[in-house]
Amino acid sequence: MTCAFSSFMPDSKRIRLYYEGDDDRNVLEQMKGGGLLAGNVEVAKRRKDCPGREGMVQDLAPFVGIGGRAVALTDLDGNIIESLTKWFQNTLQAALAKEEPPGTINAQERISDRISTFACTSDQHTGHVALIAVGLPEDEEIKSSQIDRFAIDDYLLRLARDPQIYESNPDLCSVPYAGCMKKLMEMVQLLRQNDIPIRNSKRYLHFLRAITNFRPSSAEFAGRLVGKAIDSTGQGRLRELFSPLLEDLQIAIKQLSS
Amino acid sequence: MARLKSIKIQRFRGIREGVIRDFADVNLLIGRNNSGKSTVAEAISLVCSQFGGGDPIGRQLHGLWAEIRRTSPFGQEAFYKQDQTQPIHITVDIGGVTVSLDMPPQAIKSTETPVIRKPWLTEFANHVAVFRPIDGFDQQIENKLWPQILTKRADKSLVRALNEVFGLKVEQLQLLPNNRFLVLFTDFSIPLDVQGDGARAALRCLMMLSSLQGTLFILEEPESHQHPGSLDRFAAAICRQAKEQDVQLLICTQSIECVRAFLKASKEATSEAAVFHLKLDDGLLDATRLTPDAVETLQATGVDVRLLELYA
Repeated sequence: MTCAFSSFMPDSKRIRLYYEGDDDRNVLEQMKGGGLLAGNVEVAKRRKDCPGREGMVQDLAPFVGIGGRAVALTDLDGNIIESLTKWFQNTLQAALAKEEPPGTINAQERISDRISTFACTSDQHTGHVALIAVGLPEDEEIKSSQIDRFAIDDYLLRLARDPQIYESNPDLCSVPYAGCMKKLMEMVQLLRQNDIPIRNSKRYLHFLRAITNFRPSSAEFAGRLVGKAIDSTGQGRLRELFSPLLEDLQIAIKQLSS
Repeated sequence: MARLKSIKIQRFRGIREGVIRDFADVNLLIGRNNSGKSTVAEAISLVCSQFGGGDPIGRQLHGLWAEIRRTSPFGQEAFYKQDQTQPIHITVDIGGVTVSLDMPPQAIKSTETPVIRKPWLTEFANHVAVFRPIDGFDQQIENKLWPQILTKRADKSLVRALNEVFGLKVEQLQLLPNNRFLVLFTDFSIPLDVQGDGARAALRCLMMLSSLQGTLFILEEPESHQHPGSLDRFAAAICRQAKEQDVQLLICTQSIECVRAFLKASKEATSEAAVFHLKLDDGLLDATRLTPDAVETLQATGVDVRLLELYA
């Protein structure tokens, strides 16, 4: 498969992607394996004892401290971008201060609506981080599903709802597409009628896994869903499905490489 | 306690300019081939060798490096790009005292005059020792050090270390008048050189270390001949002994197992440790200092700390 980013590699130094959890990791690894990420991008491993977004910052701080360049993918959840950026800045600043030699954030720039970059310096090095807020708050289908906690799962739901991707996925297609979608909405409505909130895509995906009898973990589901989508869909359609995440990654990587 | 704190090198071998600061008790130098690890060790040795001492078995340190390089320590090849029109300048900070070496002229300078007014400095510099993989087979080590080891009753701790590192049941070590060094088990004995390479190298390294006090011990690739399992225990024995004898360690290695083993061992010995990743770019030495915690996090998140130049 052609690398979508091959024209944006002025610097061959490696850039690492940090993320919140196992679902994100599997999505990113599939994207990397499918050639959707530039060759100099690698997906970081995460420490099991440092989970979540707080742990992500703890994991990336030593890397930035040695002058590394990182992209941090953080779910928008129910935040506004400004508060998420402020939280990231404060948490990163605190983590850098604990490094030896201590580091500090000495520059911040808003690159786009969803991307901010941070330059972090210590006595020895200057590292760079691009923060990308992940989720689809502007997506009409997500809005109509009454989802207001945004995350990488929004993309997974979008993939699963695509008839072509659904039908070509052997993990799903044992249940006909139309029946699955009908049952999915019935489950959501039933829960809502009983005052049980369904505010994020992850819950939709849990129901989808139940309907299709997919037994492995949600992370495995995420990885397989993206992998099958990449195998069965053309580059153009994939860009649409992963928009704006792919564009955001492209912009962030270009910025970090310059 | 005397400690090497920093070194500044100008125009020595492949290094046009470079500084390494904040050496710890246990220091690991890592980096690609030709990144300057051995040059740094040689530079430290050269400055210290100007104090006139030799290593515990009487070898002049500059001679050891000359043997490795197959060249004279002060010959044309010592100069950056073999350009003798510009002098070599090496400065080390030992315990807050700056000691310099310039070539040419070969002269020693110090912020203290004369240098010998600081006995601890002379003691430190005079006894710096180097252990290379090839020294694991050097019988001179037991031949020259054994009487001293017996006097200090260090033979028992060597036996204990040998048994711990390799799971052996050695009862005693013995040097015969014909210079045969025997490893004695309950009902038989065998010459040391019949033992495996790992045991021979480890025992000779520990013998060398046991003769040191309040100085610096430079180890080149201590992982040589060692199985990773033994390496952990060997590192533990080295760090424990170094701590007891107030010996600072400088370890040049290519092995991530070695880095892990010595960081773990230094933690157990409550010694401060640091990893220095060296990168040489057009003669400019860049040394990134990493704490054990940083190494642990970087390794756990998939960064091989030996390859930091891929990222920064």
